[in-house]
Amino acid sequence: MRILLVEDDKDVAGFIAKGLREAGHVVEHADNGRDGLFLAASENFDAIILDRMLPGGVDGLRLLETLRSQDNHTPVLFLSALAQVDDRIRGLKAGGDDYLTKPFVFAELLARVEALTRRSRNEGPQTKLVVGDLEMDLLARNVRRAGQKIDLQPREFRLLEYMMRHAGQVVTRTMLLEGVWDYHFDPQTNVIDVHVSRLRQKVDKPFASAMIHTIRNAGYMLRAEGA
Amino acid sequence: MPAPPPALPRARRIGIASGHAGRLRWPRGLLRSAGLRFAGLYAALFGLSALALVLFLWWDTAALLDRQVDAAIRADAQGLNERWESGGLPALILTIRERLAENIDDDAIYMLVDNTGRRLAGNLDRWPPGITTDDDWYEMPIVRDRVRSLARVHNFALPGGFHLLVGRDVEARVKLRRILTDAMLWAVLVVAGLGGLGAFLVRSVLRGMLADISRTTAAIGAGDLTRRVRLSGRGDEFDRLAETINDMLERISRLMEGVRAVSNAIAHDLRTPITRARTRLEDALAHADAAADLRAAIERAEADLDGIVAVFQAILRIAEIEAGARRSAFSPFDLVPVLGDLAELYGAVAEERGLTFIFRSPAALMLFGDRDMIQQAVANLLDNALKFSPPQGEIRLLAESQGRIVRITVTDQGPGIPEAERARVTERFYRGESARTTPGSGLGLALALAVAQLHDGTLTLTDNAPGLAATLNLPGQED
Amino acid sequence: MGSILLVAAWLAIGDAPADDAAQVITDTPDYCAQLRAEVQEEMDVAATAKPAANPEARAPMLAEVDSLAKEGGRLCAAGKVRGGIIRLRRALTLMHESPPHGGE
Ligand SMILES: Nc1ncnc2c1ncn2[C@@H]1O[C@H](COP(=O)(O)OP(=O)(O)OP(=O)(O)O)[C@@H](O)[C@H]1O
Ligand SMILES: [Mg+2]
Repeated sequence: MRILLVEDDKDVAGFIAKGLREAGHVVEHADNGRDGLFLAASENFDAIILDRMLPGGVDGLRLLETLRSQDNHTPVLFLSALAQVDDRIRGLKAGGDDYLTKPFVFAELLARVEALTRRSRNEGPQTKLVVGDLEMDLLARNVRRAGQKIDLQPREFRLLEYMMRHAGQVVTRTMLLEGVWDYHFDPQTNVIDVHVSRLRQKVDKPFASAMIHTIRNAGYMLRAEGA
Repeated sequence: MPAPPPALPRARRIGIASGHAGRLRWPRGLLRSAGLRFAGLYAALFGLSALALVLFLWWDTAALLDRQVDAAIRADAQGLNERWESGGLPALILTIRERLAENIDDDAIYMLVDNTGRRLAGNLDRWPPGITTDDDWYEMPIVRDRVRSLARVHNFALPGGFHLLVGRDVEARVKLRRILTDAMLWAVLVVAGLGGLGAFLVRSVLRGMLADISRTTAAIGAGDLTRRVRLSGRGDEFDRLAETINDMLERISRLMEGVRAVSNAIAHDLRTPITRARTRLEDALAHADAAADLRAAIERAEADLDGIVAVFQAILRIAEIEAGARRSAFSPFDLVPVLGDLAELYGAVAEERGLTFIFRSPAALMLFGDRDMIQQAVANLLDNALKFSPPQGEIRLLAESQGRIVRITVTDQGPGIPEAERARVTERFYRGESARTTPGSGLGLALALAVAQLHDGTLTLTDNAPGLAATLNLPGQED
Repeated sequence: MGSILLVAAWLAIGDAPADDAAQVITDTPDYCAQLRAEVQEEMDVAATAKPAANPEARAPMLAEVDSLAKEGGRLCAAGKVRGGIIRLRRALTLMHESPPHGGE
């Protein structure tokens, strides 16, 4: 994937760029809003990581608004030290697709960027999700694995749906809290782990191989065997 | 309506009057006193109404007098005309002379002249200048015994070039005018006097009432945030102003308190975890030999930093809530599905730990507020309940409405909080004796309290015997 | 305040002297004397006339006319011309109101 990183802090930018490259992505870096806007408007990227406070007269919000007004719909992840609820809302209103506050865990950033690009890739409405021998019918709202029906509670269904839509990618606990429960805070209790382990009981336990994997220090990943 | 008086004298008089007005201009400093301005305004209003009254009296009375005079003149003229028709010029002259002789009211004016302007009868020494139009009404000055007066006359043209003036001395109207003028001048004096007095009274009253407010705000400005404006108890506008100011001061000092708490937190409470992280890193640098030890130390430091960031975010969140900035995001919503989601989220955890979880609520509970905030506050209470529950304990999440109050209660069967500690556990970073061994930073209840207060509600902690019952009391939404 | 003064000045305008105003000539001592003579003349006529229908009724009237006329003359002489003239006029009016040949 080609990713544009607009971030003025050299250390942070270097760290992100290195991490993204290690994960197999191509990274372009701009250290001010003007250059960032120029790059974003003139070249094609799969995703943009955008700091909100930037030197050079064009801040992150302005950059994004300009980009969107030019009908450029490249997915954008805000990365900002502005952590108040209103800042987040403003960022999403301006056309941002996701908002991550500093300081951040790199695994979280990587997972979110990859999730963004996936989301933009399959746009149209789907009726069926398939990962390996796991099938989910979104209209009939039922799930089968290897032809065998699995009974799920509504919330478990949504949890599995989220993981299947991001199959092969890391999904973090915060992503699940936001995406499945629509919660925007971190509960101290490991609530997500409990729900994922319940899901495992139904999706993995009766079968020979596990599909839901725990990724240390990051979150979970759903993938087909051997994938 | 009386005809307007001659133009020339009027112009002269106006010149004098405006000279006076020029000298009456007030010094600029006095004009800056609000009290004086009010009083001046009142004096002006008073003066204007006095003037309006005088003018009304004048027009009304003058018009009445004029009508009477006109009627008398017409009757008089009619009689004279009959004489003229029956007896000709000699009869007319004789009648005029007779009427003058018997004019007890001493107000009749006659003047009969022939076509050359020679006086044939009457009591004017000459034909008054300016009377030129036949059969018209005039008002003219006359001199009686060296005293000036005013006459209202009618000019009749008679056959043969004769002209007859019939009129009345309308001195009464002149007198009336003089009286009204005097009254007016006196009124001006009285208004000025009373206005001045009132100005100083109003000014001193205003000063007295505002003195406390300005003293208080000056003290606040100088840094003494505990000062408040005294209320007179009369419930008047000044009390209302004082109340508003006191509310504002209350809020300012709460915000200041918040800022102080945040900086204290940074100064003291964050120092401990930062110290711990730093010590570990230093220790690793000095003593770790194997790469694995170093890695472990770094990972621990990373976790420490994450903890610090989490605390930091919680502090800022509480400060944000306390500042009330989130009120703009308030909207009506149904509490029941929100609690249902939480029950499902935490119920699974409770079950996992072998606890019983009970959720009870009515079909719908409308609230006006910030959904996310309330969600987080209840989540914090549930966190505590899970954390402090003994094995096989029971946790309840109950919602009910009582009158206009919506109650959300979380109970557990843990150690509970001793009476003496209950007031303190909602303070930031306060952690009870029983919590020494459990993880946490002592911000959960502080946030729940802040959220309750943001919604004009309260957080009460009671004994669940055994355990704790924590209740959020929030004002419900009226339908 | 200024506007009040303006209006006060306007109300006082009537007092401004006008030099070319016509003079009333029935306020003069001459006219007073003329009236006095007229009254005297009529009183003389009344005294010499043939006795009236009821002379008793006319006697007090004539006495009052006489006193009014005398007072008027005195006032005129003392310079209070208008007061004197008014009394003389009243005397004349009184006389004319009750004619010598009472027709009641
Ligand atoms: N359900 C409970 N039972 C017993 N004690 C409680 C309970 N809830 C709170 N407390 C006491 O009140 C203190 C403050 O609670 P609070 O939720 O603010 O902090 P915490 O739970 O210790 O940390 P945090 O919530 O920030 O992780 C706790 O340390 C504990 O002593
Ligand atoms: Mg807590």
